Amino acid sequence: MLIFSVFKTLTDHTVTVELKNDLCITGVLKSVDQYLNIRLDAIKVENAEQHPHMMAVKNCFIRGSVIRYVQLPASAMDIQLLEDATRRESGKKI
Amino acid sequence: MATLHTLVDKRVLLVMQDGRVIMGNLVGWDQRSNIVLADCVERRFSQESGATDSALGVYMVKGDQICLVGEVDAAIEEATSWSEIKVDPLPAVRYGDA
Repeated sequence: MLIFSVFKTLTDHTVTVELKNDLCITGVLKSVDQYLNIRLDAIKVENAEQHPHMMAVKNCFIRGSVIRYVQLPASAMDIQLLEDATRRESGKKI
Repeated sequence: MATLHTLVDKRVLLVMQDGRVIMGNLVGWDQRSNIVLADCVERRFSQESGATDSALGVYMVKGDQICLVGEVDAAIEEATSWSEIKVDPLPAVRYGDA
């Protein structure tokens, strides 16, 4: 649930999502749900010449289960806060 | 799945886990992201003959096979001559190093 909250704070920021089929998609994060499915607007596919398959797609919904990495905007992240929250969260479960 | 609301009744492009591309009108979905599409076509990409569409009809796609759902911009879709686009199909999803 913690990471879900982190993503919610990043709405309207630009993120890059790397999928498990090696596609990299950059776009504006519009929404996220409990499965970490992600809605991106104004998307750009990396290496667009080699990947014209999604040329006509501007907004998309990405299934959380096929996401390998999400590159986050460093400026929008509070690393200290995240560290503390992570430790608090893991402490709770013991 | 709150996030698919805005795509209902629109032309969407599905990228499947095996790399296939299916386009259709989104008529329904559920919380497991199972999706029902009407007027479906599969768009096959090939390095030799360009992209070709083949009609499929109405499809129910299992959510666990879906990679991505994109909203198709009709203007770009119409303006593109897909038969001249010669590229390999999208790669399939890989898990681990396999």
